[in-house]
Order: sequence, then C-alpha cells, then structure tokens
Amino acid sequence: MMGGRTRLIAGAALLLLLPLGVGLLMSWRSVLSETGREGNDPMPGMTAKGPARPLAGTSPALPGATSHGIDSSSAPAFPPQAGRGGSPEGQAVEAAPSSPAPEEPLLPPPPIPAVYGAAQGTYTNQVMADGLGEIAEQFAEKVKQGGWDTTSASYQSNWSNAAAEADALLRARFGVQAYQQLQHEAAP
Amino acid sequence: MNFFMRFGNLVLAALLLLPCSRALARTNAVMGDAIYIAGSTAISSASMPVIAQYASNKGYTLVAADNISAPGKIALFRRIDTVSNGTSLTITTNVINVHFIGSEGGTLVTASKAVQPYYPVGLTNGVQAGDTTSGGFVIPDPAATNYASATITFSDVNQSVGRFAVGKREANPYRTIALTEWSNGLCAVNFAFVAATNFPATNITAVIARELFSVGHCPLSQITGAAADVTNTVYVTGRDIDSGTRALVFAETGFGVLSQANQFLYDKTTGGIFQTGQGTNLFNGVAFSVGNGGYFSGGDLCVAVGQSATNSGVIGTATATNAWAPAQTNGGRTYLVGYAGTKDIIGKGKTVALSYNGVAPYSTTAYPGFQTSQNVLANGSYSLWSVEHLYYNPGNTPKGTSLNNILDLVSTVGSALRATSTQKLGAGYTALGEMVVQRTFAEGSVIIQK
Repeated sequence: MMGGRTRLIAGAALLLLLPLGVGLLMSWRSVLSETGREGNDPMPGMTAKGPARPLAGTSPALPGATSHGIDSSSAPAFPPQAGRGGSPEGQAVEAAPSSPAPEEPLLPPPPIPAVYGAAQGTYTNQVMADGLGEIAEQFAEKVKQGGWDTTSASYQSNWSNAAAEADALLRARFGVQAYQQLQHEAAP
Repeated sequence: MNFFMRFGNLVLAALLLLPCSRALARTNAVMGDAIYIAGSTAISSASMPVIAQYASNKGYTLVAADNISAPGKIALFRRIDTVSNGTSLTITTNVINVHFIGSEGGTLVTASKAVQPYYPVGLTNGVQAGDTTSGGFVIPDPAATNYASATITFSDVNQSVGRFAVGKREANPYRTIALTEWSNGLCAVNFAFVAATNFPATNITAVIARELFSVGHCPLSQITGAAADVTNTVYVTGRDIDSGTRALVFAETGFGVLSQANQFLYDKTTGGIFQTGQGTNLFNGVAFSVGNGGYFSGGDLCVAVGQSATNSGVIGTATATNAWAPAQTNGGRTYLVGYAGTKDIIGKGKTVALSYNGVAPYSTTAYPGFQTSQNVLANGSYSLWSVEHLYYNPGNTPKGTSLNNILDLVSTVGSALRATSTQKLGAGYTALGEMVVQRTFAEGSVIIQK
C-alpha cells in the first residue's frame, strides 16, 4: 500500500505534468490569436470548423499556470489545423473578406497523445505518475526537435509521429485499459 | 569488479608465468579487457555460439561454462597476453564474461551500476557448473564472488518499453541511462502461450490473456466455450520482472509491461498451484508485490507447466518459500497456462504451444515451419513476437578495458547474427530480412507491412 509520502510525490509529479499541458494549450491559443482566428471561434475551445484540442483537465487556475502558460521553449505548441490560418493561403483568404473564400478541405485535428488525459488525475500511484510524466516529456522533446515553427510541415509531422509513439509507449507500458481511459479524457 | 578478485587474478597470472620472468628484472601483471555481457536468455542459443566463435578468433580460451562442450547461458573466455621488452615482462589478462539473465535484468545491469554475478576471472580451466536450482542461481555456489555491471546486453524488447527505461522511478529504483543500440535489431523472436498436453483448449486470445494476468485465473469455459467447463479453472503462470519475455507478452496482449500481475507457480512436490509471494528479484533486489513474481527462466517455466500435466487437478498446500495463496478449486480440475519463447517450449516434455488469437505459432507437424512459407511471424499472421536488440553502454566500461574492443565485439557479433538466415538461426527465430511485416514503433505497437 502506498504511504502518504508516496501519494504526495505522486501528486507533485502530476502537478508538474499539468503546467506542461496548460503550456501546450496556452501556446496553441497564442498561435490562434496571432493568426487572428481566435475571435472567429464560435465558442471558447471550439474552432469554426470543428472541435479544438483542449487538454482535458487543464485549467488556467491550476497552480503554476499563468494566463500566458509556461515558457514555450519547454513545451510544444499545438500545430494549427491545416487550412485554418496556419498556411499562407489561409492568411491571404482572411485578408480579403470581400471575396468569399472557397471552402477549404477539412483536415483532421492533430492527435492528442493519450498521456495528457492524465491531467484528470485518474492515476495517482507512483509508478503511473512517473511513467506518464516520462512519456509526456519524451513527446515534448520529439516535437521540439523539429523547431518551433508551428505552421511548418515538419512540425506537424513531428507532432503526429511523436503522438503515435507516445500512445504506443503508453499502451505497451500500462496496457490498453489505461490507454483507452486516458485517451478518452485527453480527446476533445 | 570486486577488488580482491581482480587482485587475486593478477597474482594468479603472475605466478603462472613466474618461471618465465625470473630472468627479467621486473614483471607486471595487469588486467586488460574485461567485457561483461548480461542478457538475454531468449536469444542465448543463437548468440552464445557467435560469441564463442568471436572469442576463439580473438585468441580467447573457454575456461568455464554451464556446459563446457556447448555453453548455454554462462561462459568465461580468457586470454593471457605476455609482452617482454627484455628488461620487464607484462602479463595482461583479458576476459569475455557472459551470464545471460532475463532481458530486463540485463538491461538494468547494463544501463546502470546495478550488478549481477559472473564467473571469477581467475577460475581454473575446465570448470563446468550446472544450475544449482537455487532460484536460478547458476554461478558455482557459494563461489559467486565476482559481481559486476555489464557493458553489453541483448534484449527481447526495446529499452523504452521495458521496466528499466531511462530514469529512476518506483518501478525502477536504479538510475538507468539510455543504452546505445547497435544497428536496428538482430532478428525476430517467437513467443507463445504454453500449456500441459492435457489442456483441453488450443487457443488463447489477448482478451483472455489480459484477464488471466489481471485476476490470475478464469473458468475454463471462457476458453473452451463449453458450459460444463465452468467448474474447471485455468491459472496463469509467468516470468519474473527481469524477463523480456514477460515484457513482450504483457505489451503485446495489451496488459501493460508495468501492470501488476497475478501469476501462479507450480509445486511439483505437492502438486499445488499457488500465487507468487512478494519479494525482491534474485540478483538486482527490485521489489515485487504478491502475484507479481514468476519463474527465473522460460525453461524453468516450461518444465513446471509440463509437470502440471501429471498433477493437474490436485491442489496441495504450497510449500515453497514465499508461498502465498494456494489456488482454489471450484469443484473441478485446474490447469496451468504460461508463456515462453518457442525455443524454450520445443522439446520440453508434456507441453504444447497454444495458438494466439487463432493462429498457431508454428507448424506442429514440423515446427521448423519457421523456415518455410508457414512461418507465421514472417508472413504477418502471428503477432506474439519481438525484435531482438543489441545494446551497449560505454559508460560501464571497466577500467583498463578498451572501448574499441567492446565496440568490435558488438559490431562483429551483431553483424553475424543479423546476417544469419532463419534456417541457421533455428526454430524460434526469424531473420529480419525475411519478415514482410514490422512494428511501427516498439513491442506492443501496430504491425504493418514493410
């Protein structure tokens, strides 16, 4: 049975994970804001053409989080959805409202690694808290390797590959049951 | 390495060569290369001969082994070099010391400063030590005075998937670093669920496997589909936490490598099936809780499963150390199902390899179906396999050992194994070049066509 100290450590580990998630969310919102798209969202957390990718369980009010999120040098930003302002074409269309833009093809949102479902705090034992934190760190590292241009193809490619790897690692280490639960909580 | 062992070995070498050195003004006895290899048991039958050949080519002599005519999991190769410059004689002792344990345990002692026992470097020529059966402790007991970390290890699973990935956590109390992998895999290794020959079913699904690992048992009726089997119970046995086989099977079935298992053991004396007790692992002291233990080797597991064919249905009182809860009957018979590398299953009496998700691991009429179009690993229809990895850690290079020589061994042995055909590797392994499928990432991830 886990002692109080161990629980405390587990809680602390999760709290360390949370700012990372919050940072991701904040960075992503920042990207949307910079591209002038956030104001077009029909409702917070939703995009005009589909659901955004909020991090389940993250909240600006959580300890360590600020309105600007954590330092973006330590956490990747969500890649903008293709055709939604992330590309030069999207910006050009936006700058000419008088000429209606042709309907752009919808691309699926980038996959959210299931490990971010841990922000709900479902798993608080030491082994899982450590393991999930480690997978999240590896994910961030792999995304970061492609640089910080969130509009670049390499960034999106890195994101997708890193997310698939993080999910595979989570399934292998903690099993499909934990994976599915976390994926459900991380999903939009 | 133990200082006294090293010192003793040098003294031994010096004494052996004393007559030659009398005419010289000075004699220096030094330790040269000490290359320690840790894992894994699953690949041992393929890797040990290659290592032995390499050692022979480099002038080493086989000094001691678990089987001196055909080393299996333990071997000590030694080479003594003497160099004289006219006024002094330098005697250098070099060893390649092999003790294959489970992949996970091997990863631990290679990626950290954790140690395991090896043959003493100065062992007399020709020693042959059998398994003392004291929980798999295979070094001459109590002569296991040479405890060392390893520089090289083979592993059945990618380090990142296993218990001893990078970092330090509760599941891994040692601080482990990322190992360097030679190339990208050596060959594919075939695993299977194994039962006694009197087991009434021939197949296990991933869903049933997860239930067995989680609960420890299930009604036989869930496997056979026969309502009358509801009173018969199937118990699961398995490997300890040092095992790469366990890591692969837990990952592939979706149970999870780090998940708490409920595994049982078989006591042939009483015919009892009982839950594994809590304890610490044999060599590295990593703690495990009740049910999370298991057999030290796949061979031990298969022997136990085979023995349960005779006594299946008899529930006795467990007498082994760490005995916890004896299995409960439900008015019917009991059966034991486990998992192992097919190399360990083939040839073990009264055992049978089960199909996994409806696909047999190999042709039962000619299991060297591995070498034919019936090779279900190669053609992508059977998923209980892993890629064997070859890792090394330059940071664990002992003082006096040439890193270049370690890299030379890694490269030579790795190249030889990777170039070996399925037919030459033997039943249980498949050459990567013959696989038409691969995993997208590591063990447990999706299998796709190459």
